[in-house]
Amino acid sequence: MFKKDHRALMRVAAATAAVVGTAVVASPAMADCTTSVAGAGCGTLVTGTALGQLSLAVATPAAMTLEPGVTPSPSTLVNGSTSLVTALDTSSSTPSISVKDAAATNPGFMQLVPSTGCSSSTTESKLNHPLNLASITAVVGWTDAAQLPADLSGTAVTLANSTLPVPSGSFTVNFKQPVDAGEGLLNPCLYELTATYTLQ
Amino acid sequence: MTAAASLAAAAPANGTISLTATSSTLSNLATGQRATGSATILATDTSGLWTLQAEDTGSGAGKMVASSTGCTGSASPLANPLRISVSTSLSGVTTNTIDLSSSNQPLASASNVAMLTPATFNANYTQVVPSTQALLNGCIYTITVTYTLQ
Repeated sequence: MFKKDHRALMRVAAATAAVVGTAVVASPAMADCTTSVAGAGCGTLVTGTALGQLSLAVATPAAMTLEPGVTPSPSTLVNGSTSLVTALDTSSSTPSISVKDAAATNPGFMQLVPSTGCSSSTTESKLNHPLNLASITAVVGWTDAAQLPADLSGTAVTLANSTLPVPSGSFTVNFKQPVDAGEGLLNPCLYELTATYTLQ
Repeated sequence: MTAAASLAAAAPANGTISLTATSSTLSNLATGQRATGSATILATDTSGLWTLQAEDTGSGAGKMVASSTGCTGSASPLANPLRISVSTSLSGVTTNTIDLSSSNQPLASASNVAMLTPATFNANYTQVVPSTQALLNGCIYTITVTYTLQ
């Protein structure tokens, strides 16, 4: 039995996005060396062409509890959660990581997950406000792209980048979800979205 | 009438010595990976007492160096030296595995194994790249291995 309440559970699902890398192999000149003089050196070339590496892993953030009327502040993670992003990229000398919501409808907004007692007739089908990308923290190997805070949407937001290939790195993405005081969220209905990360 | 003839032949004082080595291209050269390659060395030494050595007289002193173009941000030189081992079907030959450096190091030697015709040595190259070194895709790394037979 569900009761009308000003609380609802919500979770944010994160997904690893398309990772693209093309290996390039050059064909160095194949030259032999020959010597017939005792003790003379015979120099032979050993060549290798580097293969780009791409790896991206995103931890699904913990479910957050939606509190209607709570406005996230810059310094706190009210209605918030975090997600650990771990990525290496040697495919480019200027790699970057971005995130967007690829949903066809209402990208950036938490959608109701229909279940028993949880339908658009009993609770909101989506939240009023988009999920907010508050900040990235604990940045290792990457550089904060300084585009946050920003609302998640169908347009990619760059989270981090680098002017060098990144052999290993990680950072935490902090999310916040504003909920209006008047939003009628039924407890314990679930809301979710899928954030798509792209490393290139 | 009689006639007499005598034939004599003398081996060259220093015998015969020759050395040929092919170039090599490593595969799987990437961050956190182990790249490998091989080459063929043909050696002739009629003395029976010889040592095959290797060194790098270049700037990397045993470590592969990135090309000056197309390698922005790519690590250079690589952290680890190129490792070389050789194998041969000749018996009585002692072989070693070395980490290439600017000094000559013995790869194979023998004290009584004459190579009257070119003997084949298979050189195997191994390059380990640590996960902390970024190798930019497409960047070409090179090293010149100088072999000496004496």
